[in-house]
Amino acid sequence: MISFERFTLSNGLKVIVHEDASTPLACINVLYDVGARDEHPDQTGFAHLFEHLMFGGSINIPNYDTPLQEVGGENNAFTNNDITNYYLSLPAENLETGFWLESDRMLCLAFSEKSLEVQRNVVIEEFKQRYLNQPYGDEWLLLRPLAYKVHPYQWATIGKEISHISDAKMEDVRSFFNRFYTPSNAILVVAGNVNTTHVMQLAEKWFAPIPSASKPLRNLPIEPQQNEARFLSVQRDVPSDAIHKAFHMVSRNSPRYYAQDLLSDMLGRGTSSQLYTSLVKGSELFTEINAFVTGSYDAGLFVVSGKLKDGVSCEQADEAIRQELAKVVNAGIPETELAKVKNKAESTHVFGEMGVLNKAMNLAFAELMGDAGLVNTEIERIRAVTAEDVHNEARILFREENCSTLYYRKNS
Amino acid sequence: MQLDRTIAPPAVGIEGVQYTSPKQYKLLNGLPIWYLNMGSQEVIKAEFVFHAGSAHHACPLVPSFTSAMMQEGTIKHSASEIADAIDNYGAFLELDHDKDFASITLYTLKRYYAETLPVILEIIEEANLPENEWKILISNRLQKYRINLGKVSFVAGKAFQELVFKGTPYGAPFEEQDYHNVQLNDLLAFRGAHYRLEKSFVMLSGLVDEEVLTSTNQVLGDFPISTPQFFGSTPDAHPVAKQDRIHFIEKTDAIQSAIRIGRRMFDRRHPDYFGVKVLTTVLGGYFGSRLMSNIREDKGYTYGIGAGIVAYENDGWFYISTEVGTDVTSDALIEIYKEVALLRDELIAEDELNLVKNYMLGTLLKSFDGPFERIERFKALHLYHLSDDYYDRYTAAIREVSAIELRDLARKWLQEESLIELVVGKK
Repeated sequence: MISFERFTLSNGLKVIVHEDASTPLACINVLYDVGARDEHPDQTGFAHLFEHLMFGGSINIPNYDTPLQEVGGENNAFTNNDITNYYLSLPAENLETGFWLESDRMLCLAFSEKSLEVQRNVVIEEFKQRYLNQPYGDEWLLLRPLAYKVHPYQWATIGKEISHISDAKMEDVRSFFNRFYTPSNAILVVAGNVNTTHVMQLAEKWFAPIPSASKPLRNLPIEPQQNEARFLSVQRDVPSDAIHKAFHMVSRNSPRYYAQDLLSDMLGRGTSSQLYTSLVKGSELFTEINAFVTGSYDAGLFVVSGKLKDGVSCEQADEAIRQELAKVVNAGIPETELAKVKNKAESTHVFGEMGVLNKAMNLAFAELMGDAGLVNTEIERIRAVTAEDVHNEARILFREENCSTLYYRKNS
Repeated sequence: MQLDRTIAPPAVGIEGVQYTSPKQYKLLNGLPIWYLNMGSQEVIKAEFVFHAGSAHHACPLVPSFTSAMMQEGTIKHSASEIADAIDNYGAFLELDHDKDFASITLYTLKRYYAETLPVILEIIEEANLPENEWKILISNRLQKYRINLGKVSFVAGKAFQELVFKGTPYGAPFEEQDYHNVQLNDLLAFRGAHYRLEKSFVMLSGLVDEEVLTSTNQVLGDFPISTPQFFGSTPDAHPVAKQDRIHFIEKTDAIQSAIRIGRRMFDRRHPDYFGVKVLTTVLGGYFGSRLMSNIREDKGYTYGIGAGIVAYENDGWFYISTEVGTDVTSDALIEIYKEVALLRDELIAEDELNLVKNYMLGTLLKSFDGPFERIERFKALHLYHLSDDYYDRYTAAIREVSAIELRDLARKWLQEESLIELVVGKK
């Protein structure tokens, strides 16, 4: 149970406060409701590049990191397809330094040419390090456009190609900031050894003077239902073949989400899961196999992926996965299996609330989905899922015409 | 009144951390355990540490495979039954190892502790490393190794460790052939010699109340053991074999080169340890460090670069580590050496040094947040033979170290000719 208070400033900024006196720390989490899905198809990777620029100095503070480190703080940020999230933690006595820094970069960036030039290079190196210079690094760059034909989830957060990053101009940066980095498009969570009244005063002092702007409207194309099986086969310089099967599933805030999520746990989470037991330990066709959901805010993907044992073909592996999924569709869900993954989901949730920063992030994500209070009812909602619900979802998901299959073969 | 945003709000200095030792509790069979009853979440972490890290065998793969095989079946239960016995209660089992130690850790909701703890005892005392599971494991590990060989960072990390600690237990090399040479009997012998309840160091953290202690006694305290003996053999400090300074492994298809620069140093008990920790933090231990500011934030050569010291039980080393575009590999090397030379040649400015000191004290404070973090700090004291006042001494040393002392430490430990350099990729 995470207790919290919630209020909204006159400029539209939502503020959530969670008091936890057991820690000497305080955290500030600022979530901006903008991600790679909000990018123009010819300017992909921009939300993430922008995240880097947020550390290049703001209008009144030339350097973001130095003053924070001076008071014993630490920070980072991440971007995904849905959101851009910034977080810092520091000794609770120095909370106001965090307010000063975060409010100034929400007010206005410095828009330094030097920062843009350098961060373009840094992000290009990140592109190389994580997606190109790694075995299997480009799997998601291939799988996304196969599964999504119209929705912007068809590109990864890093972007479609390096040129989109190297071509980024200062005028694009400015207009991106003006459109998305506004109080009404953000959620501020303050958690830790803090006092709610004090936080309200600090929020009024530092954030309330930031001019309001209307929340940008999001009007994304809806991915049409997939009606035919899709295949892609590529060859790369890797030591063994791999396979991915991606099925269209519901969005993160659908009431059906937990049944689909529990199904993925049952199939492919950990060494007692069905796919691992049957295909890694039993038939020994795979050396590793997983099932997971992307959990995105718009309709997501249910993915089964694995690496094949030497001598096993992608076709054989594909057939073996299809048989395992058919088993679930035909035989239904054993109550014991469902109870097991529900227990796992509950302990994951409880362990996930150990740190004050985790709690702050969970509150912010839940508020974006409509209500920060969702964090306190999640276990109930998971517990309410029945074996029949999960079985129904298996029937809906596991149809070949709902599936994009990627064969990732080694060079022969 | 108009708000002046150019002026930082007043801030306070960071107090030291309050270290309190966990309590010791002797089980019925004489095994001492340590516990920390703290936190608001209804969870328990039970960790069993063994002196069974990869430096404890001539082939480092043997301890590593043994650690992984411990959950693959016991005299009474198969691997999948063991996995079920943990997963049915939503608990997590973590098998881990480093150079010195191996650990078996249970994370569970408190209400399932009594049901899941017996599984851990059974693993420790009755794991029998079944042959069929071993065959699957070795074939999967070999495949993972081959995948890793495609990553410049992996190749560099492995080769650099072997260079820095050449001829010592911390630098024992292994190659693909060793995956074929290692026999199940090697693992069985290692398991028999290193994994026993009486050889374990047991720590409980979370909501460890009377009920949890009683359950612990019923499960572990009831098991007959001989004299507890956690500390047995420790790797000796060996002289390192002599070698060249510059090393290069070519990977023609690489689009980034991995760079590693460093040298052997010392363990945590060395009088220069705290000072060198501050020095390497200035160089590359935080986001605003000199290497990050220069190589990433000014030149844009890399996504990230870091430097630091790693300490083992009886040894340690200093490293600089990065991946850079192959076209800027030589430029990056020049800049890295320039930054190291500056530490030897010039005094660190007062502002910068104060910033680093505050940053380090803030990080220390954070590392004491919550029961799992606190038990880790205790574990470090115990495993690395440090006294209870270690964190007080650390705090005082950070506060007191001067720019002159740091420059002298750089001259003593960071002479260019003493640093080994490895590039994997293209020059």
